[in-house]
Amino acid sequence: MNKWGYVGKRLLKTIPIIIGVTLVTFLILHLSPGDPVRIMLGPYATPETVAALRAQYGLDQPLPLQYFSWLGNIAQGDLGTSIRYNRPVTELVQARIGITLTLTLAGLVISVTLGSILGILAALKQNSWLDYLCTFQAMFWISIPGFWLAILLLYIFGLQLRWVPIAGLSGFASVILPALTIGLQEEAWFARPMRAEMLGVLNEGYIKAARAKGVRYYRVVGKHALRNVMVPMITMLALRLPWVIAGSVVVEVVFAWGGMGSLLVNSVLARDYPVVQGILLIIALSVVLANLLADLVYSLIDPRIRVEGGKK
Amino acid sequence: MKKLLCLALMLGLIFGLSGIVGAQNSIGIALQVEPSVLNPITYQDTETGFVLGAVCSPLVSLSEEGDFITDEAVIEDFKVEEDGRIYTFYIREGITFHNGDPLTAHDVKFTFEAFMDPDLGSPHHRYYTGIEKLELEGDYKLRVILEEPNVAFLTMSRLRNHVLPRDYIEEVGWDGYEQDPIGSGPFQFVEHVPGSRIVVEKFDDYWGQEAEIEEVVFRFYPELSTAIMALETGAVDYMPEMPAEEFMSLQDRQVPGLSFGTYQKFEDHRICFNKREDSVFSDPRVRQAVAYAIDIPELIALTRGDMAIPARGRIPSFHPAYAENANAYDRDLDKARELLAEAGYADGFETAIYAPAGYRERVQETQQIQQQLAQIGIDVEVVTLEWGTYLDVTAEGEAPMFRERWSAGVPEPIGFVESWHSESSWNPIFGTYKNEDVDRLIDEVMRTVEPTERWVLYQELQEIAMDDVADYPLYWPLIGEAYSESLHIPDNLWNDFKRPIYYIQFWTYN
Repeated sequence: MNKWGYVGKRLLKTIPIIIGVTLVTFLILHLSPGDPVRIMLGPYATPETVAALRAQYGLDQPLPLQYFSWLGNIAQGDLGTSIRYNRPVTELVQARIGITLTLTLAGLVISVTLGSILGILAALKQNSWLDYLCTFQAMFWISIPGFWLAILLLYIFGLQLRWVPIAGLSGFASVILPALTIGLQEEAWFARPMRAEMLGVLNEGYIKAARAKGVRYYRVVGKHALRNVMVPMITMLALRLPWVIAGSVVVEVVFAWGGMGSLLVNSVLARDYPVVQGILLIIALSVVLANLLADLVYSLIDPRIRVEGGKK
Repeated sequence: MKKLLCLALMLGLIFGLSGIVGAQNSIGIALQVEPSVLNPITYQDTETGFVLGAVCSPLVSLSEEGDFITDEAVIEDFKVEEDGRIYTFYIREGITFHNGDPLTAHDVKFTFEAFMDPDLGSPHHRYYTGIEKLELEGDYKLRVILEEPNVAFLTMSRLRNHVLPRDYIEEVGWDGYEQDPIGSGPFQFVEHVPGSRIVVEKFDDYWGQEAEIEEVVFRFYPELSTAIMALETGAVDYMPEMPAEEFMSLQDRQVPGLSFGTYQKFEDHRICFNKREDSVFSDPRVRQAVAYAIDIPELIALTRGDMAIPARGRIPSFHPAYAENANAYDRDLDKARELLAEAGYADGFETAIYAPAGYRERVQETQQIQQQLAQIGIDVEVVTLEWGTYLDVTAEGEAPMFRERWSAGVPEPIGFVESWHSESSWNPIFGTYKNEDVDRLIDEVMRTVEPTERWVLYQELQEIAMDDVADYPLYWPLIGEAYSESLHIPDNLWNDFKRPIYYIQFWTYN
């Protein structure tokens, strides 16, 4: 089977996953208490107004009917209209998705870079104080709740030291703290496997052979060893992506960035079904695609891996 | 590695370019919730009201004492005839909308019609149903004829403070209006960056008080602690309607660079009873016993510190219709036990009090009330429900007691008492109540044009309802707002009839 056949097959496999995701998000939302119309209109609305608005958004229809009409609209690329904002969901998401992606990307860059460097250092100086320090700090950051770390960083660098403005997304300086929050939280996930893999690879015969040939140590590590630890790192990247996005959602809210995270939180509070469903669907899709991409990248890094799936 | 570098550079570029472009004369206002829809007819959230308040002009305005006046309003005069059945508005000439169109009586008529149009789905639709006819006389005079006299008409149907541009809306449609709203107010809409901010700038051709502040940026901070830090660092200059706890904490810490203002809100917090026949609270003695057993100062200290005033009747004490002689049931446990025994509950009984989940103060207070009522043998279960469910359950009479909050339209306090009228649509929602004297007095209020006579009627009917404990009012909240000390906000704005946020054109720099 050629590569494109494999991609096609994988894409087909994602369809049941996506349908599963839609069903679960739909049910969780619609079965949990809370009525978007009631929340929007507040205590002063008359029953007639409430009923009229419910009808306008199709909320008076039986649940299965609501689900299938939503599914039908998705198939046509229509995610519905927000109840709270009275705008198409696609438009709301479009305006904010770039912000979330930026934070996700910036967070990933920091966590992978930091994690790799610390992981390699720990492996090269195994059982030294440096190794222990790397392990300790990784465990430290991973044990702190994300929102708390975000508020703490904001308190220290924003309020006390006044190094960064507390005005949402406003210039490069405002990206540092949110990206650092995610970077520190996620860094352990890359530092630990990096250390373990590196230790394994450094004991391999070809590394010793390269050293014996007289190749410089840093060159051996940088060229021979690093390439071989890339594959597990890519797997980790794909595995962590949903967590990084989830982390961004929280961090975004604390830093007042106004990306998809704030929209999602606001919409959950307002029970704005179409928006919540739309965002969850997009996140699910991106996770599925990221996994697919990771599989494809393996073969680029390690030609021995065939896309039919030889090596894990 | 090269790719990573590229990415980092790109990111740097993107953010380098999108830095804050703050005008010299710009102030920031922190909002916790992003305004929903910039449409005066359909919006429900207070935050949208703040933005639209800066962009649009009111039909009629209020003095700091709560009298209808025409300062900063689109009318220069108005007349009430036939005991409050005919209202004539004389529109000021020379007002222009932000697109240059003149504002005329046609626009005012159009705005009334938009509120009356059931298809547009205004949540305030019902306040306009009593309008029989809108009569234009020339371009600057509009007569509103009601089906029957209604002294509260101007309170209920002030067009929610926003006169809309007819021609513009007919041209761009409601969707277009929501994207780029215009009005005739002191500030014009510049942009709405979704999730981040709404910017308005000074409108140079504004006919009223010229603003000293050139630009106002409404920034959204979904996380409260971030908003407070933004205020402390000067990233924003003003935060409206702060939660009591956070306001007091800022004030106690004497944060440098901040000033503080408070005002009493036209709002009361109370306990409602299900007074239907099958309920234990259908007996007024039981309700009186509960009232005597509740320690209001303790509740206030628990959730609001000193940011509330114990209630006496429902209408807040800064209003002339305040009933200073109504029974407030100061705590008296012996009297409470006596009343319970008289009603046949000497050994107490089991009941429940409901509060909406997510409203910190209301939930905390019901827990305190549970302990206070235990002292007279009433065993209370605290039930917290999600908002929508709470509304349904309480309206259907399933909740024996529930912890309510009510804001009324200013300045006519009818909103506080209308639910006591046995024929009001609110009556069953708050547990039903019928007292013929109260019914008669409310009817009389609606027909009495002379305000001072009305205030007496309000006082009288509150005294009766308080003897019955139709509801048990707990307190009237004080609202605290913190702002940068570089700003000067005039004293006469610190009241619920005006409110600083609706008159930014009067703010100046120190």
